[in-house]
Amino acid sequence: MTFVRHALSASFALMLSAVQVVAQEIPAAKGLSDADRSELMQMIEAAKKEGSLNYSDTIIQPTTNDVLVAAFRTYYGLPISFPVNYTLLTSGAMITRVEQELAANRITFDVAAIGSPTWTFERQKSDAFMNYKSKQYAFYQDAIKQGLGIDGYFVLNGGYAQIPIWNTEILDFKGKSYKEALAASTPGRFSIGDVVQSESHLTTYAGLRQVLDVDFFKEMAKKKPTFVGRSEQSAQRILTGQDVMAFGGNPSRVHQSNQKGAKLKILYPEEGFTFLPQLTFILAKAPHPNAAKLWMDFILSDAGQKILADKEALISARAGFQSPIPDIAPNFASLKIIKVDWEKMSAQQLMKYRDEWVSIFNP
Amino acid sequence: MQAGTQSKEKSGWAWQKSLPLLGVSMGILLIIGPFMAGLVRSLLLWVADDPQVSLANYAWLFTDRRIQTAAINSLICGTGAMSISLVLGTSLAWIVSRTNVPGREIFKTLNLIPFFFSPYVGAIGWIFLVAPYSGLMQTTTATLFGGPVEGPNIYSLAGVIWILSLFYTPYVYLFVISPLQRMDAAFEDAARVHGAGFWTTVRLITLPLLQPGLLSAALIVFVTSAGLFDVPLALTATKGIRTMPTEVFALVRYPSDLGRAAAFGIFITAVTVALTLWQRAHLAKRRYEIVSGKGYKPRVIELRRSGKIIALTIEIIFLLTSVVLPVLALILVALSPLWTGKFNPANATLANFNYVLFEYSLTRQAIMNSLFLAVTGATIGVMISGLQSYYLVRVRSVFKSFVDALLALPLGIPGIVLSLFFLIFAIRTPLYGTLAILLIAYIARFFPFATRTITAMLSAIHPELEESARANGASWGQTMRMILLPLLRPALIAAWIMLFIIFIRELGASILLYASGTETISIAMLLLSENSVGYVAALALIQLVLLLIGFSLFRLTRAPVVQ
Amino acid sequence: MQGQGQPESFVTISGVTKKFGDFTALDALSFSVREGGTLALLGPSGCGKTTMLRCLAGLETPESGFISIAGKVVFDSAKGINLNPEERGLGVVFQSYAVWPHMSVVENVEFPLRVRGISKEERRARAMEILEIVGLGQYAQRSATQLSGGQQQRVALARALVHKPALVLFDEALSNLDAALREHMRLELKALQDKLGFTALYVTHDQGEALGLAETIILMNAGRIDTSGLARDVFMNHRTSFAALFFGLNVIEADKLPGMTGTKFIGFQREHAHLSSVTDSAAQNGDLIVPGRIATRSFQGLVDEYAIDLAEGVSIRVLDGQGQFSPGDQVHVRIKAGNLFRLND
Repeated sequence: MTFVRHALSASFALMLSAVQVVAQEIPAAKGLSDADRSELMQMIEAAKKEGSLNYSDTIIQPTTNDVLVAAFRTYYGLPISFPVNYTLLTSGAMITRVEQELAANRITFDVAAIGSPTWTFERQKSDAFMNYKSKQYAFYQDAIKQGLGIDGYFVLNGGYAQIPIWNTEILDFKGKSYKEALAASTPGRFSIGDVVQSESHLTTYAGLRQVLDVDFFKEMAKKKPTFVGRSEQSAQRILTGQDVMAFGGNPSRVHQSNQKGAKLKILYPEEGFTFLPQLTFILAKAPHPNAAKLWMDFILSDAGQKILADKEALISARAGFQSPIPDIAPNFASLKIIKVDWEKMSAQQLMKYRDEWVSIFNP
Repeated sequence: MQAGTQSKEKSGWAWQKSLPLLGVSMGILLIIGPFMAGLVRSLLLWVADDPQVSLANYAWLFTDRRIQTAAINSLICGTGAMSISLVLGTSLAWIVSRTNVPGREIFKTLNLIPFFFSPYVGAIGWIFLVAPYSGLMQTTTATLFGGPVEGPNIYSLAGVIWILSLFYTPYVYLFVISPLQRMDAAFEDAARVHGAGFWTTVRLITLPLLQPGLLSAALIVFVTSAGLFDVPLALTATKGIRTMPTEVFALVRYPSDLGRAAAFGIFITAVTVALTLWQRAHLAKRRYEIVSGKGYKPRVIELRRSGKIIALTIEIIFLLTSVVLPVLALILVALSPLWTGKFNPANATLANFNYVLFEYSLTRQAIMNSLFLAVTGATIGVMISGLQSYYLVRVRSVFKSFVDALLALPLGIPGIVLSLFFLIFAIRTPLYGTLAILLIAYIARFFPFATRTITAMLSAIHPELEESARANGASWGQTMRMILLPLLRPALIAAWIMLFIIFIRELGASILLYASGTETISIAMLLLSENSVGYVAALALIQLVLLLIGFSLFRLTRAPVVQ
Repeated sequence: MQGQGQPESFVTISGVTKKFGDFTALDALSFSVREGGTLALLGPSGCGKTTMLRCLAGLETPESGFISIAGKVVFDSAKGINLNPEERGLGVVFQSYAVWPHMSVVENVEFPLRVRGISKEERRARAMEILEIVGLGQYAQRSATQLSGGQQQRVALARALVHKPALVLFDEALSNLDAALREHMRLELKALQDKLGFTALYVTHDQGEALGLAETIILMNAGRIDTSGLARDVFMNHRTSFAALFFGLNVIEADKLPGMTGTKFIGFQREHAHLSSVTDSAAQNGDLIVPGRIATRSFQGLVDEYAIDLAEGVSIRVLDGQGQFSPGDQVHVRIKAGNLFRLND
């Protein structure tokens, strides 16, 4: 019964929105000059001819994607039949896939976003990304100055952190730091991010090592953590009480679980934390370049950023953006971010951190 | 006239000879092609963008401590699962075929169900059942008796062995039950009248007579369990316990080293091929004729009350642990909006099913992809296998035993290794990232199952049935269409359904080869585990329904699962 | 090669050789059958008789040789001719009957007409007609698997005859039947052949079957013809030790007995030896008389069968109705000169 109701209401909503699109000017064209407007309309027509868009992300949940895609179509007046194919991947899997596709010279993705800055900077240097001077870059100049993007190639569509989370129904924790969080963790009943499996956990580790010494992690290893590659898995283990603490917790999982009635909490530790920018780029040989440009403009716009903050608890770096959920995803300006020069950090350095992590935890 | 007859005659012979050869050569290509790709890649080392022939990858393989750990762990998994499923499978087969346990006919069918289930889904179900502190068993115990309950550690090699044993017990069961049913009671009677007790008879007569079946089953369970990717991925990856298939997977991931991965794959293939060949040679040496040809009934043992209770307990525990409990756990999780280790009936919802079936386009795509792969793959696979069987049974050739051994090789090659070879093979071709490469890998990995089923039945069809059609004026094509195919139909259908079932649940060969748009159900399950365990459970149940439909159809054909 | 057979030859086999690896199944075999004639290929298993039938039917391809049937060359290694089985227009009754289990009786029988593109009505009528002849009219709609062995054999026979083939091949056609049924079918087959007038070639290891069915017999040994001729001649006049042994005669190496010259082997029927405890007064010139010792005696109904040791390593079997000897007795064995075969090899 629920299926039928959902399906019916969804199709009505879609029909209504379709009617609205025809009636009004498209939102994306609002306030544009005539020249810009005609350029935009040409791009939309070209995208329609391309027929679809493939994008991938390591954060955005499929339900959020549905909202994004619906808003995207409305934003540009695209028909509801315009397909946007979304693939959710772990960061490691995404890099593997993109690398394989580049090696095979068979690009299937148009746009991708990933929280692995070192890799992204290196790939930009090897011309894997398309140069597209989106007007939206104007709002991200501060972020670019902090090393979270390169004008015209990639910038963050949002950021997040892999930081301690816990279930207040199981653990009464009032600490403020990583050290306190570790002290509160029962041996064998906490998880940490698997640096071998996940590129973003490696990045987090590399950042944390700027403020936490090896001994801290050795102590952590002694308490026998479980290695989890996926944030959903660590949140699930917190929810069921399998673990009392997850060090690789993710704000968006906390947000989503709490919306369903859970009582999870998140800690932005006082030592600082590694900020993971979801760097988003268009692949140089994208099969649908115009649709890709439209998506880039949209996801960086105020409308796109609102959806990502609201649904995924992503921290927006767009100038002047106000977070709708400051408890879980505080405003960008208020955060104590560990300073890492991702552009300078080479893959070899990152591999050294990886080997160090392996030698500490020896999985 | 003469010339016309001749050319017609030639084309007739041409089909009769070339079609079976086509099936055989396709099978051989499917094996040799990827293997050669893997072999070549394993011997190459890139030094500053220049490929050089080198044994460095193998040198690394035999000195790396992690690879050794992984190999030892897989050896433990294989041996453990093999031992438990040998004992359990033989016991179950013996109970239903040789005792008067109540409901034996029903148990005969029920015991097969785990054979058709996906071990990966079973592992997920068991995580929900016994995850430390949060499994259903733990939370239920905690509710009843208080206190947090840790319970057994499912995230361990023991956990992997437990799941593998449950799902590979039916393999042993299948290999053993038919000789047990057909065994002439006189063999055992002779031992009893000459003074051997029950257990002595079992040890000295029954088990040795079952040896060929037991050996085949042991090998297939060992090789498959040691090479299965799904279960270690679900259970031990989070504890950093390395196994051979997860290590292959890790080598392919960024920063990938296909050369080392290929060397590892070649090594694994060499070991399993050697094992398979050893087993063939061993079995070829002696042939047990356990059917005397006369009409008889195998001895049915009248169990006493205590015996019946023990037999029933074994049966029920097996079915509970392999099917009922994991499926129940999946259902409870799938019905919960947010899984917290306890089921709250007040919150039960179909939202997870709704999402998986109607809202999330990827799962719909994945279900369509899996159905397409299963239907197309099974059809092509049965066609190739049918031709191979015809060659193996009907065509006279000196290469036959060689071809027979060669075509059976994929049975021993782990899916992830074969798909690694296909990845290497296809990465620079247009095949990369298409459904076609998945289809080819599926067929290459699993056609021997179909070939075995069809060959078994074809061997039982008297060649004079075809010859008399030829002699009575039917061409080869007509003979195939009107005589052989109708006679072979049960085996063809059985082989088709078996491939369908295997393809629906396939993960090991898909994991390295899927791309955006070519996700399968098992891949979608893996991707959904990014998302919510409720969705995973819902999709797992949908997959189980598809498999159960396959299983029911299979029973309807009344075909034997193995010869 | 062509035309080597006699003028009236209907089936001509000439120089047919077939090998399986190192084993020579047929060694340049040649023979012919006249139109309407019946020929039996007789011999022990492995002599090549079934291979010959399969070569005729096109189920095996010989290495070399020539085969023509009803004036049509079906195989000629020199010219590279090798017709498919279905192009030879034969009827074949297989040893296993090969009645298709997935078809009804009438579907089995009308199959040869079906593959020849004959209309449904006509082929059904003709199939029913032949089924009536073999006495299976009322079983037409039955599944073939519901029939007894004898009935299945008649289905196979009806199927082999329904398209009126010029030549019908029978592979051990009667050997799967019990004795009474076999005798009955043998008579029936003869009657059918008289009625339908086909040429028949029987392959059998059973001398009774061959003698009862065929006017000419070819006794085969190791892929070659050992003896051939009219059935009676082959049975009555033994020329080779192989034939003698095959028909159950005693065969003795001549030089192991006194007074035998000019031949290597001699043979005689078991019934033709006369036993006596003293020197036989009825002995005539040329008769063979040898002393021997009774080894065993077994009761065979009207007669007893004795195994008698004549000399070291020479033993014969004798059927005798007198019943007066026991194991260990010394006897004289006499065979009349007229009953002795001097064998050619």
